Amino acid sequence: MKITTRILLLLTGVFLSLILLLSGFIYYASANYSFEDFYKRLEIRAATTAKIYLEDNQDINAIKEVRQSYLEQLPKEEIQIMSTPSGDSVRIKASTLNVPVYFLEEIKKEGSANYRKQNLFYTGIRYRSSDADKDYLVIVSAENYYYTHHIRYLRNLLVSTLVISLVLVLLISFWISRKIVQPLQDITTRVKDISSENLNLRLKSSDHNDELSTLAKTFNDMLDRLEAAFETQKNFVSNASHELNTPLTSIIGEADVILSKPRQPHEYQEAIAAILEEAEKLNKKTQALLFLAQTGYNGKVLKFDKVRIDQLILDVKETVDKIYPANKVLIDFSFLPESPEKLKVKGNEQLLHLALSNVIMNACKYSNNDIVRVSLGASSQQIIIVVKDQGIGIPEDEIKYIYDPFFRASNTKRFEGYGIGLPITRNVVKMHEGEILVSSVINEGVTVEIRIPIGGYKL
Amino acid sequence: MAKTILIPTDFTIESLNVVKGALRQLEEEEVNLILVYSAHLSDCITDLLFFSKKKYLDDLQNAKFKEACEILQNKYASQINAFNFDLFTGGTQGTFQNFLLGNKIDTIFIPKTYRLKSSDKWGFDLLPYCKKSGRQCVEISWKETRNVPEKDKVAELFMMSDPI
Repeated sequence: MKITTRILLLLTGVFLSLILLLSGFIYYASANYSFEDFYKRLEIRAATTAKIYLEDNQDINAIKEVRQSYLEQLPKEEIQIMSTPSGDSVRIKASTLNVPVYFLEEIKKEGSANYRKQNLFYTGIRYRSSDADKDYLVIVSAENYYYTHHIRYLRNLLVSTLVISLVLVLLISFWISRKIVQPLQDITTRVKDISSENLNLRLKSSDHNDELSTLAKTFNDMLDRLEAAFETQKNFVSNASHELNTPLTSIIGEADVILSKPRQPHEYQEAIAAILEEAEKLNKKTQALLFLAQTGYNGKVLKFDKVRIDQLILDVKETVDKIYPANKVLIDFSFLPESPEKLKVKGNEQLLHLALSNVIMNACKYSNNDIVRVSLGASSQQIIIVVKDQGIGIPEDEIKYIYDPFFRASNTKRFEGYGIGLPITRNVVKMHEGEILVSSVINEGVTVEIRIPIGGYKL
Repeated sequence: MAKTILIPTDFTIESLNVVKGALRQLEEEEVNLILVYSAHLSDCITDLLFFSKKKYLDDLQNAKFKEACEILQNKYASQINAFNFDLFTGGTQGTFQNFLLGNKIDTIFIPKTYRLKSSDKWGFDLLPYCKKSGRQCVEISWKETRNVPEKDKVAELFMMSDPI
């Protein structure tokens, strides 16, 4: 079912049931009121009649007068006065009056009672005359004109209002459902226009801060990310093919030159050595690529163990010492938490080692072996490793590309490398549910903050 | 008996240097830390009706500041007995003296050159009150940094030069 129809039905249902409830209540309440009112009238009549017929006082005339001038004759009004029956005569009286026995019994017991037979209303009172100590029952019956006519009018009125309001409610619901669904339809038509060819198109978001504009905004954000991912993909292919192409070109060139004419053996040796070197470079690159693909793949099950981060940093320092003997890595453990529980993470040591050594070696490389500070601290949830160098930094507008494989910042031409380290590091940190933050000021240095959740190992 | 120290704060990571310096100076001593932010209360009756000190102080702290505090607490776990935030709203020296008395403050640590920023228009500078209070008032100084990559990140805490 379409949302429009659903809203239409829902709104109509709700409105209609409300109106029905209201009309029913009004109908019932007025009917009830007209009953009550009528019984009261009958009671007054019964009382006055009893006074007139059963008492002989001077006041009788006055009451008679009042009754004649103020109490109009009701339709089918009948008044019965009888001495209070008892025993079997109750039933006989009841059948002659055409009222049930319990009605008479109730009058006797309670002093007054009401009874209704279709449109004929009965009210009876028990009257004790003041002089003679005798008991009477006075029963007045009449047709309720107000009930028969007014209530019918009210019913017709309510039914016709119901019909009119049904039409109105339908119209309003239809209008509301259209109004609600319209922006959604707009979004749908707009989204249909967006394909991989024109990812730069965006949805129009209204100025109101409502759910639909949030939806449009969210969708636009998603498109931004999609566009960026597409861009990355495109860049990756061109960067990767360029990176792989460079050593291949030199291998082909070298081979071409050496084969152009007969040469001395040592010349062949030299050429093959050069080819080998290039081939090794190529091999390293493809291996790094493979590794990147492996770490980027989430479905793989890895063995995660207890890793102490302070130990890991010291190990990495050793590795770095081997590759960059002239490095000035300062390990600052001044923020080391007192409790060793906060130093253990759940992770794969080799991967973490690789990730951290990538970051530290980058820091050494791009700062020409200047001071690199490595600090360690722990908050209540995370272990934080900070690596700060004083190197060339990353240009501000390029910082968003640093995780793209093979991306190299514009100021790194003097340095060797092929831009795969940081993406691998990020993949590894992500695998450990951590976070990596890189901030930089150009020519001042780079600060890398790696956060890994604490493993929760007890002592 | 733990010593109670008061440190004015502006909820920046750089201002935590005072905490670091203070804890270093006091070395093995146990301390109750009270970080105080100073601000006048709003004059608006409806604001005051729904005012909550806890929420007010909480709103001023961002996630990074909280994390940096946690790092400090982990680092000086055995030295820090209590780590609390408080709000000073009085505008006179007298109220400040009462505040010190009420919180049983032994020593005040303030930054020497660093200027505390006020987070909103109601904030005011607490340092003159501290200096006039007559309590022991220790000044901590460090090399202030401006244009560093890690500015206002948690990393800033790690990289700041040691306070004296």
